[in-house]
Amino acid sequence: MKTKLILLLLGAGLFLASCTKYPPSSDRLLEDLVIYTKYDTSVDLTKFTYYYMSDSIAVISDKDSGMKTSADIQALTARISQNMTSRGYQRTTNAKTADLYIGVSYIKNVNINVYYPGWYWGYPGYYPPNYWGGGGYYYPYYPTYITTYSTGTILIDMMDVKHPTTDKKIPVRWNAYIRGLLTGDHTTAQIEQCIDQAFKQTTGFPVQH
Amino acid sequence: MKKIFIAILAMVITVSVAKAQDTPSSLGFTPGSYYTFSWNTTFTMGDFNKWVGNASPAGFDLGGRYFIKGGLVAGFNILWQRVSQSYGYETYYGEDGGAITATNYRFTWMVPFQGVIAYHIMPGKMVSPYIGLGIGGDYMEHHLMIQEYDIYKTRWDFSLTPEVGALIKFGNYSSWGALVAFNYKWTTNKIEFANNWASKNLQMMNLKVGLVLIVR
Repeated sequence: MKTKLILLLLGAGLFLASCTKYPPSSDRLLEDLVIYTKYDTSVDLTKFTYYYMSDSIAVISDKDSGMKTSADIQALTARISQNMTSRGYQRTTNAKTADLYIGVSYIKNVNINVYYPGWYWGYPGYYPPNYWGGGGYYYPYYPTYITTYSTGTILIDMMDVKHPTTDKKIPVRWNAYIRGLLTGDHTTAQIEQCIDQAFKQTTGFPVQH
Repeated sequence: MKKIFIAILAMVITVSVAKAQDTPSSLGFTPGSYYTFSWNTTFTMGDFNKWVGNASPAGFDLGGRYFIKGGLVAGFNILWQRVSQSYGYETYYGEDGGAITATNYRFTWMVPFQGVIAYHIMPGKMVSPYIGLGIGGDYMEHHLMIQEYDIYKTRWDFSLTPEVGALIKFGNYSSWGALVAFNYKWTTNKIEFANNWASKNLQMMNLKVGLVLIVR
């Protein structure tokens, strides 16, 4: 009787374990580094030439948000610039002559549950003041969306400043979201590799030279 | 891998035969039907093995068999199975200009259901080997989990499952026994994810070990 009971319990345990559809989340390596990119497939990204990007980036933090720079940030922006140049884009220091504006932001230590693209645009210094005409931005496609937000995340938006909508909104033609990059756990080489990967996996960019 | 399980199967059958030789070799009654409750281990093959390479012990099988004439039986099987594996950094390309690079986790959850016909070589003996064929379908969900993203496809299919196995009764008058069976399964199921995966006719092997309730 006891043996039968043990066998039945064992069978019931195996049955319940096997019927579970989703494996335990501990198996899935959540919160690891993620590189997500998306671009506007209705636009030919090879048609643009000049881009503007600041050397400092918008740091979004609970305490000290603003435009900042550091060795890691310099490595980051230099790598973005290198990838743009190798694809035929030319950097300009005059924002008003640019076809594209690249806005980079870094989520230092803000944790939210759901990432709504564009919410960080209101942070001070994300784009040059008095330049965009006050219309703001929009994504012509369903943008990067992630339900968990981690610190150390890099967001890159490439805005088409020459083609605002009639209500003066600037379309974002490409965006990248790299989660967990600037947590202090990654080397400069790894940061550069992640930027390279963000460009590499975007099939709409011009061929790299 | 295949050799290991053939060896396990042979060992189980040998031990059972040896045990059966110590006691009278025939049952004290004629079985009319039997029901099986088995733990199932899946070994993916071919393209399915490229999707998930790990063998998976996450499976449970319920079956019923009814003796029609002599050793000929007909019945059914319903099963739950899951195969899964983590993979390193890979890039998934969506159909809408999106791409994501991260560690990812793949799994397939299956509910096969089949009609079965089998022939028991020695239905009245303590150890009764059989050969059988299952014909039916599967419901499968193929999940590609990239961190928080769960990209999945559901598929129905047609499947064929030739099987060899043995019933090993616990005693002459016992209504309980053990089941050991090994099968190969061919399906019309496929895995397709945008530009990233395209495989068809998923195949696998299954090892079933379980209990049998024999009804007179």
